[in-house]
Amino acid sequence: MLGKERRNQILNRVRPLFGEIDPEFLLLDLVLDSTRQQLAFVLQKGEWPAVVGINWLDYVSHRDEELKQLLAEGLRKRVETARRREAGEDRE
Amino acid sequence: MFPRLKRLLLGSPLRTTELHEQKLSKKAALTVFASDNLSSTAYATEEILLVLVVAGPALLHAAVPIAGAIAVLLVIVVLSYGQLIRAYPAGGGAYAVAKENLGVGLGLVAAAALLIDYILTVAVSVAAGVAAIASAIPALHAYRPLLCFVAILILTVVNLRGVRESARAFAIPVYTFIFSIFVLIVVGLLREAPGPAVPGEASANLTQFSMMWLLLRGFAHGCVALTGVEAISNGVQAFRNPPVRNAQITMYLMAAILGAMFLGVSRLAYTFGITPHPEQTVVSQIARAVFGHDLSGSGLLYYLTQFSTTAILILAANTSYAGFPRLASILAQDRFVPRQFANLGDRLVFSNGIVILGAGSLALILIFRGDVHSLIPLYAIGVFLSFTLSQSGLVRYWWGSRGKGWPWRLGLNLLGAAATGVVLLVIAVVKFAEGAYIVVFAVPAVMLIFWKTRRHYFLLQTQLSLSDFEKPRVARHTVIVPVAPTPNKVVLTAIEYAKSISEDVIAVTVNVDGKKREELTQTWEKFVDDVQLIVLESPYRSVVRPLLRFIDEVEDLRSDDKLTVLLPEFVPARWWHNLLHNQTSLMLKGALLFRPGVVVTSVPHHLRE
Repeated sequence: MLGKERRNQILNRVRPLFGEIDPEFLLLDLVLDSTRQQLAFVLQKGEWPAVVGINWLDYVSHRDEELKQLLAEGLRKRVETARRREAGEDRE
Repeated sequence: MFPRLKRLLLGSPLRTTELHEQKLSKKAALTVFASDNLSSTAYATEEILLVLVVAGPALLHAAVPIAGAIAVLLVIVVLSYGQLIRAYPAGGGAYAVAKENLGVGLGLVAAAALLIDYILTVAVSVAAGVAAIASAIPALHAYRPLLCFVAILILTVVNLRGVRESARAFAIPVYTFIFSIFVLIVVGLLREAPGPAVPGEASANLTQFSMMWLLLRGFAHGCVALTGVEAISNGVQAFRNPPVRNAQITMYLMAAILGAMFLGVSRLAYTFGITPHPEQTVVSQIARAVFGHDLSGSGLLYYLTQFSTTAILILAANTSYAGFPRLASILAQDRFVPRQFANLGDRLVFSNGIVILGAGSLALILIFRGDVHSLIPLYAIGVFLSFTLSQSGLVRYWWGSRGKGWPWRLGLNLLGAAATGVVLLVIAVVKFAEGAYIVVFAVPAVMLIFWKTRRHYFLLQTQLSLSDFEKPRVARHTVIVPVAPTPNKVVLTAIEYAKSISEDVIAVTVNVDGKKREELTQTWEKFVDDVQLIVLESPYRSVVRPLLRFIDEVEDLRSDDKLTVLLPEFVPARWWHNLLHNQTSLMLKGALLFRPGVVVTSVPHHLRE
C-alpha cells in the first residue's frame, strides 16, 4: 500500500489530466497492487465508478502528455464496457 | 421453533435401516392403495345419473346396463394390470412399461397423465367426501371449500408421518365403508321398493343420435369408477414378500369389491327411482330410502353409511399420496423431475412429492370451489390414457419376450389396450367441451417440464464432467471487502480475515449520507492502517448498485486474479432482529450469485441477546 504522501503526489499529478480528459469524472482514489506493478485509478461519474489501470513503470516513465493519452484510452475502454454492460442488463 | 413443530406434527426421524419395516400386508395395502378405487362407488353412479336425467326419468334405467358395461371393462383392465405387475414387479406402472416398450416419449405421456390424475383424485375424492357429509348435515353445505382444505392438510400431514401409520389410521374407515355399503345393498334389495321410474315424455322427444350421445356421455362419466386401479401396480415394492403375488391378489380383491358395490348401488338407484339432487348425494338418498334417517334404530345405519362414505372418500385421496410420490421418485431417478423427489424424508417417505401433491390439489379445490361436478370432467382421461399406453406396451413386451404362456397374455393385454383405447376416445370426445380440454393441454405442458428438467441435468453433467478438466491457474487473489462507513468489530474482524487470505485487500464503502470523504478516510485510518478504504459516492442513495459496478471494474482490471468479495455480516440472536436491519449483505450475495468468476463469502459475527 502506498504511503499517504506518495498517494497524494500521484493524485495531484493525474487529477488535472483526468479533468482534461472528462471533467465529469471525479477522481476518488488510487490503489497499487501488492506486486507494485499495477496502478489503478478509481473514478466516478454520477452513480457509476470506473477503475482505470496502468502499469506502474508507464506511470513513472511517461511524460504528462503521454500519460494523459494512456489514461484517456483506459477511460474510453471503461466507458465502453460500462455501456455494453448496461445495455446487457437492460435487455435482461 | 420450526424443528420442534415439525417433530410434533410428523414424529421423530426414522433410521434408513428401518425402511423394511414399512412394507405392507395385503390387508393394510388394500386400505392404502384401494381406497380411491373403492370410494368411486360413492359418486360414479351419480355421475351417470346426472347425464341421463337430462332426458327425464325415461333414460334412468340405463344406469344399470351402463354400470354393467363399466364392470366388464373393470374386469378387463384388472386382468391386464395383473399381467403388468407380473412383468414389472419393480413398480413404475404405466410409465415404466410404456417407456421400455413404446419409447421414452410415450412413457412420459403416461407419466404426465398419471401425475395430473393423482392430483385430481385428491381434489375429487375430498370434494365428494365433504359433499357426502354435507348431505347428512346440511348446515355444512356452505363450508365445503373450507372443509376440503382442512381435509387435505390433515391427509398431507398423516402421509408425511409415514406409510405404515397411514395404513393403520385408514383401515377402520375403509372396512366400515365396505361393510356399510354391502349392508345397504343387501337390505335395500330385500326391502320392498317404491318401484322404478316409468318412462316419461322427454324420451319421446329424443332422436336416436341424442339418445346414443347421452348413453355414451353417461358411460364416459361413469368410467370414473375405474380410477385408482393402477395404483397397486405402481406400488408393488411396498408389499410384503412375495410382492408380486400379494399385489395381484390385492388388486383382484379390490376389483371384486368395487364391481359388486358399484352394480349394487346403481341397481338400488334404479329400484328406488333416485335422481341427482344438488344438496343430497345419490348414495345419501338411497341410504335414507333404505334405512330412514332418524337418530335411532336403522336410521343410525344411514349415518354410519354417510360418515364412512365421507371417511373413505377423504382417504381415497390417500391412494394418490401413495402413488404420486412413488411415480415422482421414479421420474426423478430418470432426471425428468427434480432430484429432490427421489429423496426419502425424515419418516422414510418421499416428502417432497407428498407436499407438491397436497399443494396441487389445494389449488384445484380453490379454483373449482370444492365442487365435485366441476372437477369430474377433468378426471379419468389421464387414467385411461395411461391404461391404454401401458396395455399397448405390454403387448409389445409379450411379443418380444415369448415367455411361458405369452400368446394368451398378449391376447389379454391386446384386449385391455383396445378396450381402454376406445373408452379413452369416447371420454376425450364427449367430455372435451366440459373441461377435458384442460387435461389435453396440461399433459403436453407437464411433458415440456420433464424435457426441460432432463436437459438441465444433462447439461449440468456435461459441464461438471472431469473429462476435459484443466486445473484452474490462480495467479493472484484480490479481496474486496464492502464495509459500513464507520469501522466496527464486524468490519475489523472481516478485514483481518481478508488479510490472512490475500495481500491485495481493498475495503470499499458507499457514502450515502453525503459525509465528507476526508472525515471517513481519517476515521478509517485510525483503526486500519494497512488496508485502503475506497469511498464511493451515491447521488441516488443506492448502496448495492455502485458496489456491484465497482466489483465489476476491479474484476475487469485484474482478470487473471481470483476475485473474492468478502462480506462482513452480523447474525442476530433472534430471527426477528433481522427485520430491524438493512439486508445489504443479503442483497449483494443475491446479486453476485449470478456473476461468474466471483467468489462470495461472508465472515459472520454472532450477536448475543
